[in-house]
Amino acid sequence: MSDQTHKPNEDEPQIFAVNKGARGWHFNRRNFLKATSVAGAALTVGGCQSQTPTPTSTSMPTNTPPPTNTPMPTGVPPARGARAHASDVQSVAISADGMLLASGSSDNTIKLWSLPDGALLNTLEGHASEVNSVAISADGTLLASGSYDNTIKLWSLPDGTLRHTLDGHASIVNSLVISADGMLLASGSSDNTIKLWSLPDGALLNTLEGHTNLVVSVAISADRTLLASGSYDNTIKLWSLPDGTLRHTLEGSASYVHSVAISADGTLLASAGSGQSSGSNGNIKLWSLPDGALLNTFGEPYSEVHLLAISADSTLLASGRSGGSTIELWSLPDGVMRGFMSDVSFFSVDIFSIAINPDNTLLASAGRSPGGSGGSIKLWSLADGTYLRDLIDIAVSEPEFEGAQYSPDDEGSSVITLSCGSPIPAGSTCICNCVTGSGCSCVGHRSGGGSHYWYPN
Amino acid sequence: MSMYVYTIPIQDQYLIYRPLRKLAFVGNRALGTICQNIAAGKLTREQVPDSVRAFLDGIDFFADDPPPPTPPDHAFRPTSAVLLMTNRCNLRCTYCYANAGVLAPVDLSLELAQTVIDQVAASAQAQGGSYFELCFHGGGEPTQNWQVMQQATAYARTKLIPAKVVMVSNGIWSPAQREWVLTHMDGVTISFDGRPSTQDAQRILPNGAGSSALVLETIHALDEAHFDYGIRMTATAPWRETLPADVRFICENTGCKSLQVEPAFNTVRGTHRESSEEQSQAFVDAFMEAFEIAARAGRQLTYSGARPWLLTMSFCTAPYNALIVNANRELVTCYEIASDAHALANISTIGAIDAAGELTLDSTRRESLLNRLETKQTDHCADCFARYHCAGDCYTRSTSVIDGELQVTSARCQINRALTAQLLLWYVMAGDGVWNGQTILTMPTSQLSAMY
Repeated sequence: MSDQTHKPNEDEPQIFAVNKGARGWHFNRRNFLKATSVAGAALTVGGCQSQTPTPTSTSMPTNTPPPTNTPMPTGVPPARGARAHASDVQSVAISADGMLLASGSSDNTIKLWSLPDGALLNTLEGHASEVNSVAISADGTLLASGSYDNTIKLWSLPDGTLRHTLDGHASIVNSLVISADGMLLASGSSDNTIKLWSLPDGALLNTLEGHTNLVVSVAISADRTLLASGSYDNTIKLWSLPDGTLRHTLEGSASYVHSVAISADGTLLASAGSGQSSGSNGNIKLWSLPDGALLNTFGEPYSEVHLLAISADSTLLASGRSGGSTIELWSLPDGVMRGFMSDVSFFSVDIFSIAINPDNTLLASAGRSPGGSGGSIKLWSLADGTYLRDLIDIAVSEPEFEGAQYSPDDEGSSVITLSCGSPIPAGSTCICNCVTGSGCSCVGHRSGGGSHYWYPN
Repeated sequence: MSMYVYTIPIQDQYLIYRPLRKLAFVGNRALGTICQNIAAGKLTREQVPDSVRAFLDGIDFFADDPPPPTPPDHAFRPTSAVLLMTNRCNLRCTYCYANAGVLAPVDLSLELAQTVIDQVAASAQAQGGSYFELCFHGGGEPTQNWQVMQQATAYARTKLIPAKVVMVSNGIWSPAQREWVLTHMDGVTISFDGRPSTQDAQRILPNGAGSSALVLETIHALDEAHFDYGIRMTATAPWRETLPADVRFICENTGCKSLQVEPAFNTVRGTHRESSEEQSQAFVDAFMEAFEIAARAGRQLTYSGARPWLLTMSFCTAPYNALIVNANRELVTCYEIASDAHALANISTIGAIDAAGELTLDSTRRESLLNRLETKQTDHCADCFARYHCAGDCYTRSTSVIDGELQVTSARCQINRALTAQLLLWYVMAGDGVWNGQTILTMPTSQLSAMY
């Protein structure tokens, strides 16, 4: 039905937003200029033009104000060609205060982003190969990164100074976890071992042997008494901490265990693996801790789940398939599906990592950009499942992407068109032509008379 | 200026649609008029009001259309061998167009299959193709002619050019057949109608029992083997009460990602029936409800006559690229012409293969059929916004023999047009007000809140 709140002159051209309700289609009149920006977002990825000086993404901007609780735009398709990294994003982690997101990528770098606004803060370089895993200490002062170069690096936060490089693994470092008290780092490796390291000095404490295939995921309980490891030997092992004694080997996975996660209250272990058999009930298993008894199995029985994250309040589990483009949300401990989030940008991405922020308002997904070149990071609202935004580093985004408008300006910088509502990259300026009151959700908008533009800083 | 612009009335407003640009949005009559006048060359860009012009500029509306899709080549150079294997069947489906299973058995022979495979493999190779397709199809259940199917598959694999072997089946297979299919075939379409209450009422074993459990066993085996398969549903009235629930059942109980549904208005086996306007609308409403259920589950539900993502001049490649042979050794232009008992067999039979393996193509008759299909598009479909999507529709389902005369019917047209418009609205919604050609098969996040 048409919107009856307006009594427009039928002789005046009008455009409508389309929504669907229980009783059919709803057409709601909207402003042409707003529609213009949205249409641009859909067709040309236009709407908000960010005038961007040469990106300074390798150092922390000194004049960047601390992130604020900026209202987040919703439902805006990400810009085609917008990238967070030059290659796949393999891992994301969110700090305990929810203000910082770290991403590790196949482009050998780690990037730090502020949340919730998504501004790029810093790019950390030093690994000789792909960064496979990142973890942030609870006090936010330390970042650990694991790589295909077989090393772990410890970085100071927020400045990104390299403090230590930890050698010891004989193969790829697949997974890292830092204990809640910040004193212990555990690493799982393709050399089939788990290593325990003291923090912040990085001294090797112990090597846990027992898995017969790659260790791809590790998790530590909040009270630092238990470590869980998932392996391609189809088992999960529970180890006592700090001594590293093997307590249980959990079997029952028909194939690889891809991911393990321990709830913050320490009572639940979730594991994800391959599709199993027609008699199986699903590919996500819940185990009680510390005894390791199987409590529940759910999820699709025929596919593989590679990624798991449990919310801080232990009531929600997010799962995703590596190579898929959907994240499913499940209630804990009953395993009832609460909904799913899918890439609706029309440019589907592969997802390699997910993380939930501490207050359960935000989920970050990371993976491969549309078209397979570059890495993407997307933020989603956990309250209603809506897509919020992509994190964008202009320096690695595609200048030639469809609809993008780059042009040199007097200062030698370039203009790029992002989807309306996208965060404006650090150091750039929005010059979009939305009018006041049009409802444009661009982050950081300000009015300037009858129309407003963003001028260079 | 070259552009097709359609203004399709929807609930007092208009879906403004440019099919060749795959561009759609919703406006009022005044906006539709402006767009039409632009297309007609009666209104220049400069004459359009500023705000409207900014919007139209933003979606690149003033750009010309790309050329329409190229008409299919009439040359008979098949790359697909379609074998209508038998009229025998191990089901007695209530709506079966072929009345399969109750007629005197006629099976396609191995030597006939080999002749067809030889012809198509050679044709595909001569065209520089990378493979040819071998499809075992209907008129009955192809697995009932089991040995010939096995041997024909093995024979196809001996060709220098690789074969892609697929089958359309009812899924009533023995364990041994299941194992063989999983090992030897490249793809399968299973006819399956959904919940046990639907499947067992419509797809019945010869003894009157339901077939649901048996087919689900097959589907689960396909899932377990991660086999490439699709499900083909036939939906019957009352659609609103059954189709959404049947689609939900399939989403919840199988791993199938690709579902196709077609409505059946038959009340008598061996026929196609036309739908009334009321029936057509009921199916459209039910389809959209089911489409949303499938989309929420990450599945793709399609209906053959509504394909807004596709621009084509041929509804189906069968009359052009396929060598289709039935068990009576006849060359036909549609998968459904299993025998000359079909009402359209006369115009659809374009040759034969004799006992010596000699293929005779009646080029005149074939050309007559192709011209008939194209004439329908230029005459009947000339002003339709869906003309490049359904491309004249399935001729066997949109043509009736009335008083001995072939007549184009409009019942399926109503469904095709209505569903195409509904899908376009869906796309406009998902595109936040403007659709510009993306194929959208998942639920927009803006709709997800309803799930919480």
